[in-house]
Amino acid sequence: MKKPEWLTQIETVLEVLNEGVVVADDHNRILFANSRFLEMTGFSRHELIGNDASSFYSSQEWASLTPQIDIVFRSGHNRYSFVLPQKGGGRLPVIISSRMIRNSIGQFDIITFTDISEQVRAEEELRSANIELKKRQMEIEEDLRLAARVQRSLAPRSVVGDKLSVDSFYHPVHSIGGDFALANPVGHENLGLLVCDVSGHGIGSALVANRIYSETTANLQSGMSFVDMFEELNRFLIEEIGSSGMFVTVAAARIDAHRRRMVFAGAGHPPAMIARHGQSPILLESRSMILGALPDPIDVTTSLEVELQPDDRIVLYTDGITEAFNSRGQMLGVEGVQEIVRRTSSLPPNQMKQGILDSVAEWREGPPTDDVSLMLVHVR
Amino acid sequence: MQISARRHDKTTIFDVSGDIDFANSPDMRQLMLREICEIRASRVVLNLSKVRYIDSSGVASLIEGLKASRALGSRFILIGLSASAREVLHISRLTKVFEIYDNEEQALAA
Repeated sequence: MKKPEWLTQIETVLEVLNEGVVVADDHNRILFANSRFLEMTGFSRHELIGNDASSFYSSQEWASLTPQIDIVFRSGHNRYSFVLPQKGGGRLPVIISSRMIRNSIGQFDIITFTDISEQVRAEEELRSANIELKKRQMEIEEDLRLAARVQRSLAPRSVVGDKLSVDSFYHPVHSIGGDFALANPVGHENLGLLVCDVSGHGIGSALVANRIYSETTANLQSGMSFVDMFEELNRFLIEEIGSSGMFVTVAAARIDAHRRRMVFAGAGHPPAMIARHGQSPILLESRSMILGALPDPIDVTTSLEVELQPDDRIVLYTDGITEAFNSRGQMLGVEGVQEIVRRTSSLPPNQMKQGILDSVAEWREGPPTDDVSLMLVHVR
Repeated sequence: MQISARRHDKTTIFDVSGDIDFANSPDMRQLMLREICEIRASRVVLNLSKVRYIDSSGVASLIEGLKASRALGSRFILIGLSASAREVLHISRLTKVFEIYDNEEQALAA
């Protein structure tokens, strides 16, 4: 078909467009292609004009394209994504926007091609990145599962002796956390206890908790004074962990089961409690500050000695217990925990731990938002 | 958490509301440290009367503010502590290192 007059008139305009433009007749013969289209495909005008568009596509591609062209013929326009054949055999991803013009001479299809290769490449990169991310996430989750197993292995096991028994509970808010507790027999008659809370939750806190676990275990076993132990821990945290905004609270105790005496010390930690028959639970408050934050947090009188009595229950815990909020926005606090300990201390020793946990859960609105550790010692 | 600043001479008062927790304490820390280290306010007052709760990361941010103030010789003051915020600081034994007042008038007069 001869190039229609209206096309000759608008050629100059079509030439300056940033998109490739082709005009074809109703037999898909190419009547016009602008310079941008030539640039996109690599074909010369001579190779395109007068030829059937289908000759540039594979038969499979043309079979996919035909229904789209039919839509143009039926409804007058269409827009879809496809590929544009290039001279070297390549395929350029494009958005094809097609509009049918009907006049006295015949039907013409004006087709614009928008190069979306950058977008497709970006999508492809995003897809690859997502696959890589999913893979990494699975690896991290596997690492976390392993870390959680390691951390669970640090949780104190129940200790049942003639004169003392220890029961404990640990629940990290994420798969791993910054709380840990230990109850280590020292010789035949003594027991070393420690409950520690590294600020924050998750991997960083867990790593610090694991790092200081071994240090404090050794120090507790060696009989090091609590003042020295806390000094050492503070120095380690400031010098080794630095200004990462992380700090540690600790409650530590050594119990001489034979003499029924306990030495206790706390650093920025919620008060330990001794529940004794017929009395309000005795609070053993921290005398030293949180560790790892400031240079001189230790009070020289940090250790206190307590005479124990048969059937005393010693309760050590972390702030995941005290800082539980109810639906009215009230914090349970030390007073609330003290009341729960008082109430549950009439239960048999093996039911008291669960009684405390149930009461805290009853108070708290929703699941825990902080790691929770609880250790209960029964003096027999 | 929401935080806004008021400045009078070389004093900056931050009015904080909501919970100070792991999710938002870095923002608060950044604002405080900018005021202390860059703007060089000689007195930074944190009005916590509308703060219900401060978690351990919030406490860590307050300590950062305190340490930066100490290093530059300025003052870092907390006012209007709620019962739960006061209890958190009391348990940490930090009430003895922070300058704490009941209200703004007392803090500005001190």
